Order: sequence, then C-alpha cells, then structure tokens
Amino acid sequence: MFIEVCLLSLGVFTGSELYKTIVHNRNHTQQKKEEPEIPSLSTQNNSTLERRELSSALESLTQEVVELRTDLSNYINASKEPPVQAGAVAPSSQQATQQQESVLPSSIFEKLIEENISLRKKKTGE
Amino acid sequence: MSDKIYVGIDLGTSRTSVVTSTGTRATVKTCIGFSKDVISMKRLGKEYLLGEEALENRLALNLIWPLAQGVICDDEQATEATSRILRHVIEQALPQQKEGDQLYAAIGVPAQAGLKNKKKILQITKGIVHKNLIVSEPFAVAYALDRFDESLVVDIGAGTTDLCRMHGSLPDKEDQVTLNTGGNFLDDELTKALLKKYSDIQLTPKIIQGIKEKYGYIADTADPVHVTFLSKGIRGEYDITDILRDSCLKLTDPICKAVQDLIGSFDPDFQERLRNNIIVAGGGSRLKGIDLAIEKSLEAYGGGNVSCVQDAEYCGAIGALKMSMEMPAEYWEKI
Repeated sequence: MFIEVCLLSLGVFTGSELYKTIVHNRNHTQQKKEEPEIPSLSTQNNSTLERRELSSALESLTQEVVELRTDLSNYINASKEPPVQAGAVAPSSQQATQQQESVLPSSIFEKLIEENISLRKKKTGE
Repeated sequence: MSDKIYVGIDLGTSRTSVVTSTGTRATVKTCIGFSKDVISMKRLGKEYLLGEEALENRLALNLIWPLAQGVICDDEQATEATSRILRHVIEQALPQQKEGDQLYAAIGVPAQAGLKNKKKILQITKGIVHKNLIVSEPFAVAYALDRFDESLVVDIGAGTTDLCRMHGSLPDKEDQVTLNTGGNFLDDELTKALLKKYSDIQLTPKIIQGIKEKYGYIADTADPVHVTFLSKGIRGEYDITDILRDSCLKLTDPICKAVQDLIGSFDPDFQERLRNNIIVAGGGSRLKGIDLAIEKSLEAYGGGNVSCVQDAEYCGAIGALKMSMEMPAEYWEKI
C-alpha cells in the first residue's frame, strides 16, 4: 500500500514537472517567434556608432547650453541694467527696491557722506 | 503702503537721464520752452513744453537751456526750469509712484562743480526727492562699471569734459579735471568752420548736431563726408571731410593732453595700469576713433588701452543709482 502511494506521488510529481517543462518550452518558442530578427553584426555596429555620436553631440550641446546660460546670467548680474522703455516696470521691481550689498569698503561711503554733510553746512561764500 | 525708491540722476547740459530702482528709466533734453505769446499758448494748450516736445515746437517758444557747462545758470528762471525738468523726468520714470513713496536720489554733477552749483542742485531737488546725495559724474561712471582700481574715466558731455583717476578710494581733488569744452563746443567750432568756407549755407543747431552724431570722427583716414545743405532754399552737396575732422580735433586735443597730465602725475608704479584702463563715457564717446586717438596720444608713455562705454546715455545715472542702492541705510539717515 505504502509503495503504491509513493509511486502515485512520484507519478503525479513527474507528470506535473513534465507539464511545466512543456508549457515553458512552448512559451519560449512563441516568444522567439514574436521577437524581431536580430540584425546582422555590421548593422548593429553602425547603429551603435550612430547612437554614440548622437549621444555625444547631445552631451556637448547640453554643455554649451549650460555655459551660455551661465554667461547670460553673469552678464545680467554684471550689467544690472534696467529695461529700455521709460515707465516700464521690470519683473523684479520688488527685489530691486531692496538695498544691495556693496563691493566697496564702507570708508568710501563714509567719505562721500562726510563730503555731502560738509557741503550742506558750508556757506556759499566759503 | 509707501515704498523707498532709489533714483540715479545724471543732470546734464544737453540731456537729463534718470534710472530708478523699480527698473524704469527716462531721459529728456534739458530744455524748456515757454510760449512766445497768447497765440502760441492757445495753439500748444500749455504755458511751457519740455525736452524734445519743446524742440519740435521751438518756433513758437522761447527756448531755455538752464544748464551751461554742466552748471545751472545763475538766474531765477534757470533754477525754476531745472526744477520743472527734473520733476518731469522723474514723473516719466516713475509713473507708478504713490504719494507716500520716499525717493532717495544720487545726482551726478561735473567733477569740479563749484560749491554754489552743488548747493543749488541740493536746493532744487529738495522739493522733489526726500534724500539727495551729490556725486562726481565720472566717479558715477566708474561705479557703474565696477572700475575702482587704477582706471581713468573720461566723460565727454555737452558742456564739460570730466576726467577722473580712480585708485580704489574716493577720488581726491587732484585726481579730477574738468575741461569747459564738450559737445556744444564742437557744435560751435563746426558751425564757425562751415560758415567760413560756405558762407551762404543755412545751418541750425539741429543740423549741426545731426552731422556731428552721424559723421563725427578723429581717425587719420576716413571716407569723404558729403552732406546736403540748403543755400537760400536751394539744395546742394558739400564736402565737409576736413572741416569735420579739424573741428573734432579741437575738442579731443585738450582731452588727450589732460589724459597725459593725469597719467604723468600718477604714482609711477601704477602708471602702466592706469594707461591700460581708460574708459570714455558721455555723448562724446560716440565720436568715431576717439579711443584710438587717446591711445595714439599715449605712445610716448608706453601706449594705452582705451574703451568706450556701451550705454553712453544712461551710464552715469546707472552708476548713481547703484551707489544710492548700495549705500548703507545708516549713512542715508545722516543726511
């Protein structure tokens, strides 16, 4: 009895494994059929080369754009010129009204203010 | 809510330019025209016109240019006219200004403007702005360009030419020179020379200014300059190549001499740097070949490097604005 049960289990197991293997092989064959043909070695090389060239061109373009943007932002910061039209309001008007930090030592401003104060005190005849 | 607005003003003999911290700017010819009579007042609908509008209608107006050689003329009318022009140009630049807004202004004046003139400017602007600061015009140009170390600014205006030697601090008296010649002097010289050669041609300040701005040059060689003038109403073509160059040289020769003097009297260790950092600003910077002429005048000194500013009209006002914005608040409170 025991031997019979063992044989049956072995049979079921083997059958199941066999079934799985058959299904797997069938799927694999179908998948192979659906996949496009692998291009020949030379074609594959060409397309890889093209892709590499394109990628390197794109990379250098991106680099240029980054450099141009940096240059432009430096230029804008350096010139800090308001727009040309009279009466037109710049988009950053709110920021522009805030005090900016000077690159000059405060002694220059001190001297300038002193001169202006003494100018106000002096009499025209002096 | 009231705002604090910073303003840079270049009060020039020919033009007054204003740049504000709100990102706006305006410029106007420094002239005012009062109606000649009741008829002109009726036609124009105003007692007076300002700037370009006044020039357009000058036949019906008594034109006044209140600034001569960079300073306000010594009469009540000029003071009143300057005040109206300033008010007008600030209104043009700040159409969105609210009643409570506070204007903090830095005003550029000729390098060696007298005490009387500076006080007059302070007095005029008192009623227009809340705080005012007088600065040397060429220093304002240097400030606009961030050229504080060993550089020489040559600001050729209509009334004066201001030269200022920068050496990393506020320039002293000996660092600055004001020549009483500028664009207007060139206009006069050109008019005289043209009338001497072609006595029957009809000239106006506008025609002369147009020729100067379009053809003015100092180069040794140039294409022939032929212009059309009217002679008793009849059109004719005239060659003014040599006349134009000679007149321009009358303006630039004293400037080159002043540049040489300022370089020659500077600390010898820094003269080379000064020679190689010369900036020409103002309307005169548009004269073709002015940079090369100054460079040529420095050949005996070891040569030089001269560049002209790009925005001749607003450069001084931009520097004054920048200065007013960067001035620490506690200093503003002192004045």
